Amino acid sequence: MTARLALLSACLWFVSVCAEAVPEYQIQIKNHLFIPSTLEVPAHTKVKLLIVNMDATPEEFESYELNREKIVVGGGKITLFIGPLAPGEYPFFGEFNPRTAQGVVVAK
Amino acid sequence: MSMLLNALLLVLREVLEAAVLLGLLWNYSKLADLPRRWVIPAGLVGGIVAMCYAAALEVVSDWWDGSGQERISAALHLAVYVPVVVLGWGLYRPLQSRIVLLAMGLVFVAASVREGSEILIYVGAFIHAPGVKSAVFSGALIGAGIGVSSGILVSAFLGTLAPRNARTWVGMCLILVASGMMLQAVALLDQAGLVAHSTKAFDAERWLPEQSVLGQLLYAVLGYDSQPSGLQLGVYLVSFSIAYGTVWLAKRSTTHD
Repeated sequence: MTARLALLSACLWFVSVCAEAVPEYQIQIKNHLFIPSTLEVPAHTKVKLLIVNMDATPEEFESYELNREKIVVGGGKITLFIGPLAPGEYPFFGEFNPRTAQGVVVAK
Repeated sequence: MSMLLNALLLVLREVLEAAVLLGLLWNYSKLADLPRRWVIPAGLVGGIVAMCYAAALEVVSDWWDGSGQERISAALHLAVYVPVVVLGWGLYRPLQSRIVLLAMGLVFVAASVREGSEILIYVGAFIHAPGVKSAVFSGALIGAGIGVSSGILVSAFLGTLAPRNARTWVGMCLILVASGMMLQAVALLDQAGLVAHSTKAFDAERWLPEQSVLGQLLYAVLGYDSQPSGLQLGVYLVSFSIAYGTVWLAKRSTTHD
């Protein structure tokens, strides 16, 4: 009985996590640049990033501070979640074109 | 950072993990007195699957409401961890040869797919970029060379040890690599929004920054994370304990026989 309750609780927790509505923000990659390069998001809130690659070549969104890395193919799009973040700045970059593709998430 | 250096570090980071794993499994084969021919089919399968995965990444990215990459990568990490636990048992207790060969093959294929596909996508991105093509290709070759050499060095070092010590080293290194993968698997699920976010367990960024060269190498081989969440740390500790406990039990039961 206890095991069943624990399983049910785990399932409910999992479903609630999946169903959680989160604010969504979009970043574009164009000419190996992130647009916008500075993205303001609410602090202490989980947010969803939609990254749209307008270039023909792939890019990898990467951030050590956000602990995120994900490839977006040329002309493709990806989604990923960040946060809840403490107020502060969290740089990110494109691993395939790190000289130009740079940006920062500002949590306020 | 120049494109050559960027390509070198990126490819080195990807190759290193598979090369070190291969070095460990090569020595495992020697310790288990098994032929090392399994490397060829496993390498071929890993390469082919990596190519298919790279080609299908756009489609995969859209699976499961956009979390396809993370779910498959996490599954690949698990596909390394589980056979490593089986191999840990097999270090001290008899296992059927085909099970050991299958486990080693699975570990190598799973480790090759994610890393191999990323290299293919990265290098492929610069095929039609005449300005930087040679720098990227040269950097990628040097990075791959250093990665493969590191794997050979690991293998050669383990080969110099007495079988008893080699068994301990191979077991511990496999456990550390596989547990690191479980830690990274949790980060992937967090990125996909599939697990509840937990707060940082600790912050080692000041002592060993993740973006330093050493930090990146440790990340590549052991899944080093300078700011793991509580959930990541918990999963790491459980994964390590299960794998280490399995080896310890196998060793203990051998001693009692």
